[in-house]
Amino acid sequence: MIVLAEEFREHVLKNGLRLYVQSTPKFKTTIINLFLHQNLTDQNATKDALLAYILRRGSESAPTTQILAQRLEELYGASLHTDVFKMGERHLLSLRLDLVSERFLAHPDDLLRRGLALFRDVLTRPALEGGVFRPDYLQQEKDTLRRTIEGLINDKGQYALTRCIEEMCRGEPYATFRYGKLEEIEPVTTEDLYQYYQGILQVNPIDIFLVGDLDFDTAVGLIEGTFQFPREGGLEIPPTQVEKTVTEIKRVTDYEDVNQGKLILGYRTNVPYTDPDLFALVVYNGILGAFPHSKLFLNVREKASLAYYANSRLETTKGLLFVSSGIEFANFERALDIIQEQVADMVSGRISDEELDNTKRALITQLKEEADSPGRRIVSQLEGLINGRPLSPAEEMRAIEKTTREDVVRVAQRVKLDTIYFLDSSQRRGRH
Amino acid sequence: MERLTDQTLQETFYFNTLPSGLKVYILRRPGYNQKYATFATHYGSIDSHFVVPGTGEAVLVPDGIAHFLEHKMFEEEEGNVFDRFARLGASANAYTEYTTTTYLFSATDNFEAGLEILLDFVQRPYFTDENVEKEKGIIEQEIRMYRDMPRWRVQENLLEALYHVHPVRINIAGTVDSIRLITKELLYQCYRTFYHPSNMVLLVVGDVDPEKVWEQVVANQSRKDFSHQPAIRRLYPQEPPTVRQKEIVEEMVVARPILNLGFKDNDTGYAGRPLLEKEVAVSLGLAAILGKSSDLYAKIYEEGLIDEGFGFDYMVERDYAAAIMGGETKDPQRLQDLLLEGIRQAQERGIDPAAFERQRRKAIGGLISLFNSPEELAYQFNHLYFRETNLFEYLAVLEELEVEDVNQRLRRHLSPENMAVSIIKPKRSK
Repeated sequence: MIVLAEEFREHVLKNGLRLYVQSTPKFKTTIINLFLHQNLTDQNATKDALLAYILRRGSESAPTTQILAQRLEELYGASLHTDVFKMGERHLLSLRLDLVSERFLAHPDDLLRRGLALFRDVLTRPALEGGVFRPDYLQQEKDTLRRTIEGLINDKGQYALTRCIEEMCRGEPYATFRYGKLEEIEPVTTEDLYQYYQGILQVNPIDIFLVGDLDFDTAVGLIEGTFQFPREGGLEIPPTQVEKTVTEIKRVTDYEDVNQGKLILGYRTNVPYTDPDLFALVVYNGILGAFPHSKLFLNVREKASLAYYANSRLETTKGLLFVSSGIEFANFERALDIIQEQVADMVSGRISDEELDNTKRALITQLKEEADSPGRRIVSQLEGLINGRPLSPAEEMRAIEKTTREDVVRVAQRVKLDTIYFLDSSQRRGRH
Repeated sequence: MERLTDQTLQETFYFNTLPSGLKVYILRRPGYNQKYATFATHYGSIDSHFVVPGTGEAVLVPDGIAHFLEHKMFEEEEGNVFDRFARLGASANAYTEYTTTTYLFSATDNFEAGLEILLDFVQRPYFTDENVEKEKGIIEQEIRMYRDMPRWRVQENLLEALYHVHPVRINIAGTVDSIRLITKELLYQCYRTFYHPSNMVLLVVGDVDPEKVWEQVVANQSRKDFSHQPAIRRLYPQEPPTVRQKEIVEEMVVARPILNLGFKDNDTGYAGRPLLEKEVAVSLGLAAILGKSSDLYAKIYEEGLIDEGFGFDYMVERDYAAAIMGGETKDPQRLQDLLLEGIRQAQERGIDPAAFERQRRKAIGGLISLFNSPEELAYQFNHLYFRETNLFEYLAVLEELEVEDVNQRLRRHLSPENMAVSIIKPKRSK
């Protein structure tokens, strides 16, 4: 008998922070993951990214990056990871700490309490100079951020996807790159950034997830005792705009001196997260391109030998679907035709029982396996909370199980192609 | 089944050997929904020159054939193996490395049926002229994809600079030209040489009953006929101790240069615990000198020469090994100078014992965390298995290693004459 994940139990701290605890003896580590929510704009994304970088430089109690690194190593290699990402038109600054569970250590050394104190200091008592962030650290992290943004081109697949989103969502908040914009970096001062950060800590929504081998009351006590800074709260992040009518399909081609063309097709699903057809869309994406039994893999790769990879993925908060494939430049039209045939087959209902059943089974396996991965559980719970529809894996499983071909076809009719992006070879510029 | 237990980790491996020589290992993960199995052979991209068992004839096969073979194993007379797993709600995959090829699947329900498919498809090759030709287009695109990945290229070029003749200098997937030479006959020849059960190991990780899994494997294998196979003879060329080339520079579409610096280790030929001791000593030593808490890291980070992507690795096998370090940098020369200077100082003064202790703790924590993830655990298990050691011995070596062993090893290994660099320079689009 398969048992799905223990549910997260919720508790609101006195200062308004929301805590979600999953008590389980399954893992050999304790995971604490904190998310600061923000509106998605170029300016905010840039500042959040700078915060992600500068917070990991040090705290009052571990005032340099080197000392902070030493402290983490002493805690049996506790990992502190800070980063930013988008979920729909919301920006998230994530701080995550992974600690080894004390019961596997010969000398436990009060690891959890010490780890939490370090985490709290990184969050609420960063390394300062004259009451604001250290200027040398900010200067260095501005350079780091420039390198991150400019370095996107190093990963051609990610570059192509990011460019497609930028062109497709021009004028919408979602066009913002998760690390912000080069032009927004320079004007940020230590005072600006510190004030901005204090503002976030004061009013923006903050969620903390804790997964580990400790009971709910102990977890609540520990977290209450650790994160008790006063705050006002109250900022509301508006919901993501999903529906958009496509009037004309955009075609965008960039040229670089590369060995392989990257084709990205951006679709509007027009299905918000709260839509009754959300899971029909998830099944749709599975049949089309999420698995090695999916239409894209079979037809673009196995039948036509055009590509090593051909897949589709969803951004369910913004309601977007992206098809990606790496192909020979000259095969652009052929690959595009095959992909569009597969999408058309979804609309006309050319979906075999086997495709439907295999996809539902694969999705259910994924949900069950999610229970074994704290990171995936946390992100999926966060996505539900952000969209006002937190579902347990069991509820998601039932929704997938009862999805029919008619549901998939109905949702297929809502999915509209918006943008065709191609990263082409610079040697072919001007030929078409 | 026999058992191997570690009290600190509170983990037990169950294992046994079949008459064919196939080894079976099982690790229980109580409470996990995922059941995960790997079926791996001690055969990778460097094994392209060998003696065909039974004939005594030495053959040299095209580069990239081990990886090609891995792709083709997923095709059967009745169709595609992915579909058979898909019907179970399970997913399958495989990967080829320099010395190993690993097939895997993951399932929640229907694990027994999945295990049956895994054991059968890996032991039932089906190659035709047509399906071999069809694969060439797919693998060509895979090779081209990697050609556009600067972090792969920089390391491939480094190995090309470090090694004169050892096949580790050749890409795992081969080249667009070399794979064109592959035929079904060559694939069968490689398959028959390297996929004998005595050259393979099966690992199952999950909430399973070890005895039941063992019985299933015994029943499956008893239906197949495996003739005895003498030990495989792999032929590797005599590699000179020097580096082949001090520097390789390639231009690619990148934002900033990437530097990889490597030290060839000529003290090779070990397996088992001595190999593990060498691996742990060099890895901890590199972490103490170059890790985030080191003076050297602080210096190069503050100068803006590196970012979070900076890394180091000790790539170690029985008959080749290299310490590799680097990342994206605005100034490859300056970074190289500072790295060499930092290493020289560490060799002179010896590693700070406190730094060494921290790295030991960090590595112990890393080993404990490994047991959270069946995929990572299986990867490390197989990695150690083919070196004739295991995760528990790894913990023992970690606990017993002394800083002086590390110092001695690093003094010999990290010398400028064993060093080569690989640099990717930005080429902007015209």
